[in-house]
Amino acid sequence: MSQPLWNAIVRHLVLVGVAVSLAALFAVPLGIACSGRPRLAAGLLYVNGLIMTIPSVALYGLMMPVLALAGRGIGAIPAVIALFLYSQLPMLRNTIVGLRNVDPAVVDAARGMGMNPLRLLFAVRLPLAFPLIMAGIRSSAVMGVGVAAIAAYIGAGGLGTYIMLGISNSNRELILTGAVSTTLMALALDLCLGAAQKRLERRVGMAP
Amino acid sequence: MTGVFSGEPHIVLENVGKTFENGAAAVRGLSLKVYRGETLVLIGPSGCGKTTTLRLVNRLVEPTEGRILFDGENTLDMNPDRLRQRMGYVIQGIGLFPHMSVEDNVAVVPRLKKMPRQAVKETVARCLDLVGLPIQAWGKRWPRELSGGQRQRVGVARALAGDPEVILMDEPFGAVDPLTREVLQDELLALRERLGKTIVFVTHDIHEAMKMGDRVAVMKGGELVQVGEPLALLSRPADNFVADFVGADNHLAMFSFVKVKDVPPRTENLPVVGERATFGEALDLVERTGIQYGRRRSVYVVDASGRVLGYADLEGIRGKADPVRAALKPAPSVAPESSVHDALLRMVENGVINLLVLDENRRMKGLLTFGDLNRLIENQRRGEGCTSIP
Repeated sequence: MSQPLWNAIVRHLVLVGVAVSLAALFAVPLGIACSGRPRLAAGLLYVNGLIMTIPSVALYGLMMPVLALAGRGIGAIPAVIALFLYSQLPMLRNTIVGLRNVDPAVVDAARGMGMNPLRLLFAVRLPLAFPLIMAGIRSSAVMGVGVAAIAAYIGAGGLGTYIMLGISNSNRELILTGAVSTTLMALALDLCLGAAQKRLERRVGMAP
Repeated sequence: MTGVFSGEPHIVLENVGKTFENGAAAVRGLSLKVYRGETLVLIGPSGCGKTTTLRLVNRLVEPTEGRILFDGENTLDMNPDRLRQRMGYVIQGIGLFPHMSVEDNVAVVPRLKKMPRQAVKETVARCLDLVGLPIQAWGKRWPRELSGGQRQRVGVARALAGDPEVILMDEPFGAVDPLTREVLQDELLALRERLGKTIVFVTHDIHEAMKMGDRVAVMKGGELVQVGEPLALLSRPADNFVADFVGADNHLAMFSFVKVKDVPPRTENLPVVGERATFGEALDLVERTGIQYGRRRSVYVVDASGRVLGYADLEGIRGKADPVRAALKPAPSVAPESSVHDALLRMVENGVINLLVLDENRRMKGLLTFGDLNRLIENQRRGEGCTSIP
């Protein structure tokens, strides 16, 4: 594998990794906070749904003049911000749904046994919602790999650079190199996160 | 455990009311005492407020009126989590934690109570033993690997593990099949005898209520209609609602919770002879007792220490001087703690109308005759209830 391609892969992974991690650190607590407030949850999900409908190229374009004020109109910063925003919906929705779907009998039993709300959250509700929360993180990550490819147009680097150059130079090999690598990365990332999820679930007894 | 509880009240509800935010009154003006060591059953049609009443006790629902005293202390002045740790809680859906092994489920309250590690282990082992699921075989299993009945047993073990002063049970056996339910009910009755905990038990099944309850509280539309011992509800229902609900004219229902010793069985003038007696002596005795025998007259034979050896059929007599021992057969019997229902079954199975009442040492505690059962029904019909229960 050539050195530039390797660099592009690493850069792509870092973009997605940083953005999705930050997004998870934000969306999961937010989901926990509003899981007991159905109106707030519905509002947040609606706003996030709206964000999802904005095409990524358009989002980059919209952010450019705003971020340009801080001298950051192009490059990695706007790419991470866009990835962060797109990642919110799956994670937020899955956290809320996951917590809401915990068997009410289990929650009732836990409260009736004298668990305080914090203990109930960490010992019962979060472990039981974990598979869904993790599924949200996985779909965000897979989607993020795709969205990050387009960030090449605003100079964020990564595998999208190959596709962009390939298109402008009518070079089929370059396009294929970028596209196939992106797809493989998305698949590999999903597999890795899936394996990590299984491992964690087994540790807390959720999976046989 | 049957009888009037003159002991101190453990839980006292004083004029308690609960109106939800939407204005619906779930419970109104409820005053009720639960005595230490008794099992009080709350029963009524769905929506009568029985579950809300139970949840008021451990503050999963907070009263909007009145007050609830636990051990003399107003529950509203107590930390709700501490309060709940002092009360075991078993619900219909059981609510076992699916992500914890059986032993971890049972260990929840001991850990909440910050018991030392070794003590938690011992408590969990003891409680699983009590419900017949030894920790060596079952401790590491997951709830999903258990049958409905086993899960319910774990639920009971979990409720016992915190060594609670009170156990609250909300239709605990509602989700298991009828056969398993009978078994679980019997197990709980046996456990109760051993542990002597105060139990508040919610059900909509009158059969279960009569079987499990020292006293039964009938609710309707959020109000308490009548509270009393099972037989008192049957013989002196407060109104038509209670009469219909408990099925006051349903003698078979009564048979399932009246115990043999409460009928009570006859203890005098019994057809009992020593092992050396002859048929002649036995026949004389049988004539004197005045007991109805059905088709075949018989006597019970005891040895020198008073243990019952069996019974001798007197219809196939060879000679009056022959010893009764020659015709000895195992006698169908019943324990004093068995239900009249079981006794009746045993009579039918063996084709007899009198049944020997034996204690665990095979000593005769009396004779239950078909006439006794008839008298029970007659008293019931006249509203006198069971003779031995005030």
